[in-house]
Amino acid sequence: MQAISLGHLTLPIEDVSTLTWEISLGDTPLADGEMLAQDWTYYDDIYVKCSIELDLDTSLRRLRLPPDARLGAVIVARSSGTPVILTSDVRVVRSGRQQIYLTVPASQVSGALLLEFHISLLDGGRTPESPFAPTKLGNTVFRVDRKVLLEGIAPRLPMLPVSFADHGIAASGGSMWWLRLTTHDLAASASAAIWLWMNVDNPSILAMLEDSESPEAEAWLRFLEVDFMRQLLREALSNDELSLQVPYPEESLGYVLSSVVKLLSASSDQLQQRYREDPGRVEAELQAKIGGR
Amino acid sequence: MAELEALLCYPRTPLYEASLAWELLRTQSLSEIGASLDLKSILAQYYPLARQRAGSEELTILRSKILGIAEEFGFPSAVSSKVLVEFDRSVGPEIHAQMTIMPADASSIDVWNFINTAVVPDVVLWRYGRFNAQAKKWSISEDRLFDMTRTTIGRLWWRVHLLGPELAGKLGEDEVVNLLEKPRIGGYPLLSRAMGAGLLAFASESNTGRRMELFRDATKRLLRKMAVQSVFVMTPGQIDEFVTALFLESATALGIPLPEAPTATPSTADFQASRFAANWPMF
Repeated sequence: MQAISLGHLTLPIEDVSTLTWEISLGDTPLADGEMLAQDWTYYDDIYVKCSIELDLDTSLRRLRLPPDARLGAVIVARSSGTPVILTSDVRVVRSGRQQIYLTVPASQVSGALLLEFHISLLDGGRTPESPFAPTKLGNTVFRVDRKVLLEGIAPRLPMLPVSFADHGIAASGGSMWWLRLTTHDLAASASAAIWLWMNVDNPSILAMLEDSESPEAEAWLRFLEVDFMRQLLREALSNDELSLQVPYPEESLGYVLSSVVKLLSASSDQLQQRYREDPGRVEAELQAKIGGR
Repeated sequence: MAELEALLCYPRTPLYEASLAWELLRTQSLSEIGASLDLKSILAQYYPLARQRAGSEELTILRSKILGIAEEFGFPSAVSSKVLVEFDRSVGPEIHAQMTIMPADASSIDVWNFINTAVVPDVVLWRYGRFNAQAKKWSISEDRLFDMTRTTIGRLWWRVHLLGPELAGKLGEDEVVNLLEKPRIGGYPLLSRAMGAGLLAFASESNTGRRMELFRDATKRLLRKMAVQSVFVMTPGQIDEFVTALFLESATALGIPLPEAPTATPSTADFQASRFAANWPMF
């Protein structure tokens, strides 16, 4: 759970007491805090209930909003497998206990389901009492997330066998792989943006693709994984727009690149500086994080 | 509205197998490919718990439908890119209506690998391939075969599913990709449809030739604003206003003159109301 700070005042978690999620997959309730929905199928709709209790007057005072301001509560559901985003009806927040419901049709989601509960400004009322009060429609003053793993989401290297000769690489038999980013747009879907092309003109790579469990193939794959991450790190550090402070959606290129940076540092600027000074050392640190098997 | 139980799951071809299949297909002529297809026996796997599977009959009908439309647009002859774009616009709603595929199943690239390699590979090559007479081989961008947002048939299905057939038919290829490859925008139909409708309205009002530039700028502004403003508490009307303000800001920043803010523009609600008359769930 997290309370967010976005340039306007927000509500701390203590103000929204007894917040609870109740989630059922078909007829089967998911235990409190349980993330794995083991028996979910494409035919089990997901029923979500979020219960909150707050004192509206206190909350509005804390947000420096006038008493006639209105807040709305909504559940947002995203799925890692499909691009679909679903929302509950928006409920006007009042004092006391309230429930917000969302039914997620099973047919529309796959992979991991991320549920977000938002409280946002619907109407700022009369003049706000502080320049830090939220004023714009949709300013979010409270947010908590809940994740449910509906089916396997183990990351896979997005590998594709390709003839590099067909792409104009001379004497292509010596080439091994090619990390190809189809876009540098951080909001783009990572699965669409990142491709690792494997050169089928290279006999070693071809052998690895044909028998990925041989000792040689396993050695290649370890090397490949490290090199893949190294290239992602290089891309992350050369992307001027990447910020570790931005909460990129989990399935986005920004999320993947910022995750690579976070493996090594809490600060992108510091890591860039260190990489400029001694890239070999930074890459060795990355190898230590991911390649020590 | 069709029941969930009636939605179909389709056969799947894993990436590696699809890649190998294309290696062979790319060396054949369109007529050879057409003659070699066999949809009578399906050897591929399905979603393991599928209750309704698309079998030989559904796949044969799907091929006929797509091929029939392709022939209307000149298949197998080479045609201009403008004609190919018109083909996309015609075939997208038909694919969406015909397949009745479960969206969760449609999120698997392996399903579209099967459609591309086993059902209409000749149409895929006609649409995006270029025959290299010297090498006696088709060249085709991997994106059009294996990339979920750009794959030849799958992308047409998803754009109709998320944007509706009318808007999907009016937006350009780059514009749709710009919308749908951003999960935060593309997946929320109220927002993506408002953005698409807003673009059409502003482009029409301003008569600008910088339509894509305007769209990219508005999309960037939208993502920045979404970091502090939740569109999910907004009504459709509020989303339309929000999007209109974005396009006004973008047009001003880019120096694109507007006679006045568009008024009689197709709103999200209009596009919602004119949903495609498919007999199964759509947003």
